[in-house]
Amino acid sequence: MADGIGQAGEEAPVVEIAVEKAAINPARLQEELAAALGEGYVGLSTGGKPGAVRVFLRDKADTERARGLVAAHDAAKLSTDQQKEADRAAVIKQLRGKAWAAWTAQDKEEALRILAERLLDGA
Amino acid sequence: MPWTTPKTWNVNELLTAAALNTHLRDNLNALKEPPTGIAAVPSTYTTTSTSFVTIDAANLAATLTTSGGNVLIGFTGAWAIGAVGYLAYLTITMDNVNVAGVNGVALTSVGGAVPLALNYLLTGVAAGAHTFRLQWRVTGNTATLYSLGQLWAREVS
Repeated sequence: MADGIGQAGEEAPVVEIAVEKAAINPARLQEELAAALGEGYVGLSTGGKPGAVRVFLRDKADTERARGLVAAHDAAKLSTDQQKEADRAAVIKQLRGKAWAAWTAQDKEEALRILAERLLDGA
Repeated sequence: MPWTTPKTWNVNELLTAAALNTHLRDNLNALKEPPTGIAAVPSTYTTTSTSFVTIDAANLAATLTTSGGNVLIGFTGAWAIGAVGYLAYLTITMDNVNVAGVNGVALTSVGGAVPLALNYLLTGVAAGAHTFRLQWRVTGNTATLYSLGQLWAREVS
């Protein structure tokens, strides 16, 4: 984590913009904005006003770029973590339909990998 | 009816209806109904912001006009941080200024919805109209504030 309990956080000035967008996938949009804007990106908020997302930036100069990124955002696309979870769910669904005796070495390897990820990453 | 600093009564002073109404009736009424602002949490909110940002400036705001003194701010609700290993912080602003320090008044560190109930006594508030709001930030991942509960502020002394 970025800081510990009771440790002062950074409080640099924040520029807030509200962007109209009918549908978003917040986790995916977070990744897209963070990747494109880097340190200049603070985060996003949803709620309160339907069909709008609030984006927080360090620099006002990034405002138009951020608006463009939100406009281009496709809510149907999954974030990295969501894609991982979808992949895991697909494997589990497939294995559930198979008797243990019919499991291949690869099936067992996949099941072990999923268990290990959940154990180590809390996924 | 606003609070009036009670007058000092003198020996042999004539008790007038106006003085009694101002200093006894109106002040008792003021104590019965102190300045109070209330706002319900109208929807579910999320944030990924790593700096404190207002949760909802328009709807999650408690406004009151004080006589000058101390204000007790309270909040009840439920919130969550999306994954273990991250923190979400909550703070209080008065007139858009953080009054509770860089780490605010509450935090959560577990991945799952937990109750959030807080009271914060803000002393030395100047007389006048004031608006109290909530801000939050995360150390990573996503924080969620659920659509239930209430923000309130009341002048208490």
